[in-house]
Amino acid sequence: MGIKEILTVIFLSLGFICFIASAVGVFRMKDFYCRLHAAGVSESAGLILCSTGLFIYEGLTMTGIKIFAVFLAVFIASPIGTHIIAKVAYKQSLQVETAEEKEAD
Amino acid sequence: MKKSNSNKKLAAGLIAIIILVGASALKIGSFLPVIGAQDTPANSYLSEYYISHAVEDTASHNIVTAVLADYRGFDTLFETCVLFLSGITAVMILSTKKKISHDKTIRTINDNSEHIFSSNIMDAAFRIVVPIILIYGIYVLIHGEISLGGGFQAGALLACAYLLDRIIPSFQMRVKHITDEIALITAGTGALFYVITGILPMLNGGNFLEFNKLPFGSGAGDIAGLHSTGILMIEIGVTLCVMGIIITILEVVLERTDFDD
Amino acid sequence: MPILLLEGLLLLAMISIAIAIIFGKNLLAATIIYCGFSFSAMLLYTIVGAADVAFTEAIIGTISTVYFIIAIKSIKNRGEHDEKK
Repeated sequence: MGIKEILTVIFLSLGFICFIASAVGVFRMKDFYCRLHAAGVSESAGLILCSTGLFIYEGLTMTGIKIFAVFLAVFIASPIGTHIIAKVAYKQSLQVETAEEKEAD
Repeated sequence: MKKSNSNKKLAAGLIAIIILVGASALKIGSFLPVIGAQDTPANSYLSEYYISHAVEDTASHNIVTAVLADYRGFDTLFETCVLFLSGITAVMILSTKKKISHDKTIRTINDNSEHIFSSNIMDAAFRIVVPIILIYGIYVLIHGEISLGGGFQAGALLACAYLLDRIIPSFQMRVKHITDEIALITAGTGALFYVITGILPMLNGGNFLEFNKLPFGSGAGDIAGLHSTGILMIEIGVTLCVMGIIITILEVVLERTDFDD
Repeated sequence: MPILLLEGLLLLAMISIAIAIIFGKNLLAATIIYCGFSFSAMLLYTIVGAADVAFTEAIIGTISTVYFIIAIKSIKNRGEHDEKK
């Protein structure tokens, strides 16, 4: 078990934790904007960690450069989608739900 | 009363036609061999021949493209014709509705408009994404013989770039607005290019779509160059047809409807 | 016959997505779930080994979902009953 494999395992497991947290967050949040924020975690943070782990394992070969190109493409294009969804929801007057604290007593 | 009577007769006639066609299809289909049987040509000797002789016969490393465009080029010609037919059908069904003239200023947004998608971030983002998709589409078309791809995928990718630019309006028109007539003509031109590629070997003393006798080719006339040129011309024809059809169906629907939101 | 674990999970997911499409109440939501069905079919093609087919399915899946949404949006009275119940 060289240093390369240990680093890869660390980065990949951190990335998987990000994906699991994002999936749980989409199911359990009550508000629309909170769910959207949870879904956006996996496509930016999870992608960076997983891609770094795989890139460390491959080194600077052709496969490594292809992994970097795929990461660049997804990283540029998928926050655009999240931005569109949030903007359309805001323009259609989807309200943010605030917690009612006065009836908790 | 009269109208309901004639409607009932029409419905009864249609049901009779459907039952007739369905029964005859089942009867004719029982002559075909069972799927997965061992004595059909596809399972016994044809697949072995294709897999073992594809690279040296057609000089392309992608066996799927070799079978689709070289060994079975005749079937691909009629697949392209069926695609073209679907576009014509879509135009024919929707041609009775009138075209709604959308205001030209909706497409180009002024500085203080209330359109949903207008923002600076979207404009900058799409300036990056759309040229990359176009370049990738041309790459997939030209590299169809070596890696994944081919004609169908390239045509769909190019149409996808146009779709992206059509649905999300921007601060200025970047891609020229393609009307449905021009898109249909493009699709027809693609199919015509395919057939011309088939007729060219016949002028030189060969059969229809026989690439060994193409009059011109790359690489001083050896077999690999001729096959490569023939496959490339076929893929260009298929790409033009698929791109034209997807844009046609999109424009035919978008120009005749008035969205309420 | 032996079925691999990953293929079995994907097939189960496809069946449940199909049931969700049929019994869904909102027409627009069913169209979005159809995109998920196309995506899981593409994963199945990749695992079995047909790379060209998976590439084509990915592209055609997004284009056909956009077409469905355009077609649904251009109907005037969609009859969404779930807001009145």
